[in-house]
Amino acid sequence: MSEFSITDTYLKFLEEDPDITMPIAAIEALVTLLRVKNPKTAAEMINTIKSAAKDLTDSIPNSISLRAGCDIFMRFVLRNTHIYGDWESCKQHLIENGQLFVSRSKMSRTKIAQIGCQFIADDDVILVHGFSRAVFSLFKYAAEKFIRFRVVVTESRPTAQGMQLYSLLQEIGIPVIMIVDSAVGSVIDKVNKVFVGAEGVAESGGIINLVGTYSVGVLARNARKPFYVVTECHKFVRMFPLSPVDLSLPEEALDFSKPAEKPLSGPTLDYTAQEYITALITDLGVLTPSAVSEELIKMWYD
Amino acid sequence: MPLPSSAQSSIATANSSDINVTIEHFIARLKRRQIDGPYAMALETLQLLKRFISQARWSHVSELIEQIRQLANRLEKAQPTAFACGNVIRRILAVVREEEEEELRSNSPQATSSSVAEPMISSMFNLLQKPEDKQQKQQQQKQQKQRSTKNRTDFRQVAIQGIKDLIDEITNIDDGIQQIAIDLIHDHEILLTPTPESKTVLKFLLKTRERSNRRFTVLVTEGFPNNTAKAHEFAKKLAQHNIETIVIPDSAVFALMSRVGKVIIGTKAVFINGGSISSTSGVSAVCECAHEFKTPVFAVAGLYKFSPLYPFDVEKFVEFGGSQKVLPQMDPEHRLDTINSITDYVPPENIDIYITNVGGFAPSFIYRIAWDNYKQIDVQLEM
Amino acid sequence: MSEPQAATEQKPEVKNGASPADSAAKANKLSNKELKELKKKEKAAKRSAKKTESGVTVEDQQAMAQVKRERKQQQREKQLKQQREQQQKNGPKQVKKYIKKSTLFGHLETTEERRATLLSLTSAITSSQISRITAGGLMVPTITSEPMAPATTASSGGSASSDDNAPTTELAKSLASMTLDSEEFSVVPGMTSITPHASEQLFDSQQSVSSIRELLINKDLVHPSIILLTFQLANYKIVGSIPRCIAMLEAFQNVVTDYETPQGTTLSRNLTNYLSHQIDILKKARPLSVTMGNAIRWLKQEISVIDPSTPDKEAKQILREKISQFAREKIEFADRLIIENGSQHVENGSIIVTYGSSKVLTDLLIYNAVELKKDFQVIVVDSRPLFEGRKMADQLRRHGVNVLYALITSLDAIFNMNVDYVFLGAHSILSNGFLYSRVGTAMLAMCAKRRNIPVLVCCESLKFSQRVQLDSVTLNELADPNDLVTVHPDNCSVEHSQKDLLSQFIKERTEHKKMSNQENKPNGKSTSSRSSSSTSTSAPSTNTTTESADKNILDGWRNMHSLNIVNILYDLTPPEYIKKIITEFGSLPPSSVPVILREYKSLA
Repeated sequence: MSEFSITDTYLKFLEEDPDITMPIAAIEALVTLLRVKNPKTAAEMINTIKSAAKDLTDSIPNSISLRAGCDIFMRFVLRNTHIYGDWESCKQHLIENGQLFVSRSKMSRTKIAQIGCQFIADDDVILVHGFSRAVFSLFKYAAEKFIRFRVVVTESRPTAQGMQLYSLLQEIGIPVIMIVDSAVGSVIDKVNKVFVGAEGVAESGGIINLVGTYSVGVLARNARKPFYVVTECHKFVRMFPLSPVDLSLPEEALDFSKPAEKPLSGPTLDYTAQEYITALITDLGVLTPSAVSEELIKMWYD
Repeated sequence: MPLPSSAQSSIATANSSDINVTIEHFIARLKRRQIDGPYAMALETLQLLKRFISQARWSHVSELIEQIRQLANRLEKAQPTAFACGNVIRRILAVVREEEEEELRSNSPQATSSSVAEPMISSMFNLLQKPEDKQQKQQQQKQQKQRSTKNRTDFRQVAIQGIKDLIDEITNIDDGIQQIAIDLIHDHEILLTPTPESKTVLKFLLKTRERSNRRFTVLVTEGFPNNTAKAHEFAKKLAQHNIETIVIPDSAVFALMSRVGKVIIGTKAVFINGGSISSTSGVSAVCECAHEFKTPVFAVAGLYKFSPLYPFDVEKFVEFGGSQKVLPQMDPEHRLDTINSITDYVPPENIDIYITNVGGFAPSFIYRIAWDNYKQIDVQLEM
Repeated sequence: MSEPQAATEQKPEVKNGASPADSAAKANKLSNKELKELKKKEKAAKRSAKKTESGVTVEDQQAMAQVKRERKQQQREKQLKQQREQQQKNGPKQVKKYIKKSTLFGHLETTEERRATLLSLTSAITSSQISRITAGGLMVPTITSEPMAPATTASSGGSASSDDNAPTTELAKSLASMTLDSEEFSVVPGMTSITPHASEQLFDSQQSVSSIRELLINKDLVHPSIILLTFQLANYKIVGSIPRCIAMLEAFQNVVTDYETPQGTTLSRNLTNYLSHQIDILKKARPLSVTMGNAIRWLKQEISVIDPSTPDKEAKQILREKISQFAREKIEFADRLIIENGSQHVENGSIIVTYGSSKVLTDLLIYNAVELKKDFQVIVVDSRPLFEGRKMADQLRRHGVNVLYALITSLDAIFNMNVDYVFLGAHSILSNGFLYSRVGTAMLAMCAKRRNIPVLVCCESLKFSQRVQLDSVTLNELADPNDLVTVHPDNCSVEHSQKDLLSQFIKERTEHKKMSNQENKPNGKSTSSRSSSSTSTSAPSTNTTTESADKNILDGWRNMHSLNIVNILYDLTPPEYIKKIITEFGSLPPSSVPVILREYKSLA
């Protein structure tokens, strides 16, 4: 067990449970780490977690979302050890209840669905970009509540998320059509609202999500359509990008030295600033983008 | 026909008799929209609640809370677009709950681990918190139940005191607002107000003129067809107090907006997203216009107008009136459809600042003010 | 003819009065007497002029007027002085009259000013014996005689001695006869008599006084059909820039028909001049619309190119044809083309928002509903105080169009209804692409733009203007603020304002009467009996009616120093709110207006 690799554990968790989100997988991985390493002192525990979290974020290319999980975990541990001094019971609690967190995170999606279902009215046409479990569970819940609405799904290139969402929605009988990503501008006038998920929610209330979200957000704002972000609050992450360039993704935005046989380049994530977001539907309730900052401040400076 | 005074008299007289009669009566008046304005509505609701609580019977606080919630639910159903009722009752509920938590904390030995009992609205840490919370709470509640029989009267006292404080707060709201808002107007400024029915705006303008001796011009839109008389009354009062006043038709707002320094609006209700409902139609367009001209818009609102609700469906909150005011004479053979919105929803992006009796806030911060005064658990009153 | 008799009677009186007037206390009286003397002189001059009246030409009249202008100026100043003295005298009693001009629109001519001008004009023009109501004021023929008496007596105040009174009535009589059959001289006193005191105060501005004088001098030159049109315009009987333009062109047809070139000049030279007089009075009804301005410019151009050798009859025929051709081409055909162009945007099932009332839009929508049998909904947005939209809504409804009528305060609700297009009419489109249209249009366009709803403007190129303007405050038209006083949703603005002016006038007159009656008590029998007869018949009855009518909160707003009502008629819509302008030249972006203007100029 000395060969414990935090990255592998993390990936294993993601693979095993398709419903798990990246931050939760990261938390689970860290819990497993604690279980394996079983640190003897508070300082050791903190150091272990710190280095593991660093390893994890370094080794995974798309680390924004999981960083949120690591952050929460870190803060929780630090808080309990520093402020309240009961690190032992805290460790115990963490180790014993690994599965609980997963189920809680799934619970939070139900909660989001309950809160968010008020945002969907009869006869709505809703545009969705990218696949998000939170958005899907919200739709599912709304459909179960007999709200009649229709969904326009973007293809969400370069991923296959659009197709994934399309078939899932068709399965549960929600009228859905799929459009190419570049058609958003031409249909935006015909939709009533836009829903997207988020990989991470930044300090400013802006979101980091699948590439294309930014353009959808700008178009929605231009057409004065409400743009809602559906996300769990454990995706709030303490970073403050100023523009999509700030995300420092491994794949540089414009790489002119690419080999000719692989012509497609560019980032897979982008950053949508808070001014494009009407509201965030989270398990904490409906937040304005500015409330995200408050939650993060509370977490870090409480 | 029940007169406005009848409610008070009925409250004063038949205290022993059925409280339900009073409630029914109040609900009927709500349904018929006989209570004018959120101010009167808030005060009357509180009076009613005071009676209700003083006559209520309960074995545990949770029962009291449940009863209050039911009352609030009934009142809200009676007039879904009147938010003042629900708001003040929720405030009282929050007071009671706060007291309950306080008591729990002082009574239970485990409460020292304050990270558990912390009255945070809800936080990101929920995810990682210890699972014992609920069991603990239930245990505590059980213990509490046994104990609480002694201090039942205590809660009645707390609630009544809360009501008294709230009444006090509501009646003194204008002072608090004026203190802050006076510095927002400079000499020889041209102001525009599209909400002539707002007493807060009126008092604010009069006081500003009186206290700071600043000269300013107020443009008053007419709010045709529903509030024209009020607008004229408003203008007259301002003029009588030596404030330069100009009455303009609603259509002239755009033409004059380039000359306006600030727009002042009164509100009927403020939602947690920072949007507000105003009880004059046309305010939304005026604020949109101001936004287009980058003219600052400030809204004055007492704290009791803050609602913990989110305006999911704006159309549900905007009221519509009859056609006779829009089109009094109609050819019976060629009837025209008309539309007459009585209230208007102003989205948060068109309001720059809220002046309340507890301070000035940006619309994006309104959620916090609301959460400071309400409990999340009471937002939805329906079971 | 009582005229010479009256004059001779008056002469010694005046001289008697003037000679002992050396003490300071009688300064007021003196000025009075001086005034009378002046009038006397003018009258004499007038009489001499009358002798040659049979051969009076237009030019002669003008020349005559010019000679007299100086004198009138003096007279006017005297009167002003008198008024001021009078005001000083009853200072504490009389409430100071403010010139109600709002701080923002002080540079614009108010309706009151215009109306007062018109009133003074009508008083000069109408000399019929039947009392009637015009332009918003009362015309009682006897008034032209009577008011001189109260005016003079009032100004002489308490110092008026009893021996003064008998001649005053005599004077009044003489003046009455004089005013009734003479022209210019009656004008100024006539004006003071008829216009309510409040309006009278407005003439303090020297500029407006001189402009009025100018008009009055030339009033004989005004064609009756123009006068009729003036009143129709002033009373908002004809509204909309196109109808106004058509009406003007029709009136000009009549003017041209009746025109006769004076000797010693040619039609091409003199007619333009003659038309200018007509236009001057038209301007007093309401400022000229851009369409009218463009049409006038065109017409003058046409007149100037007529060969001076063409016989009058032929030239007039040519002009008349040209005028009707102009109306056909620039308005009728243009409208037809616009309707053709615009119809593509009226689709089955679409919801169209429009504001106020536009002739071409009404035609367009009716054409689409009736001829093309399209099924669509129209939302007519309207506003106070003109409620033009009611007319349009009614017209559309009668043609089976699905109409929803709403007021501008409900904009938010309207735009929540999946509106497809906003169609707007125009008063004018300025060279910088701004749309100058009924006040409220800009707000509607802004709301539409912010919701990504295309805004289309239907507009004949006749409405394009060379002018540039940046905001709605600098140049606008002020309508009557009294239109906004009533709260009732069914207010008919014109009636109300007439009533208002009338009641004000009556009130002032009764006050004057009372004053003069008191002063004339000893032997002013004839005056008092006459005045009482008129007051008891007309004034009280009207007074009671106005009082019984529902009271408005803002009645009497004029007496409140810090209260103002602004009622502007137009606003400017920036070009960025406008998607498309549909003209007879096809659909254009707002930026192409100057292009068309250049094009149009070269065509014309």
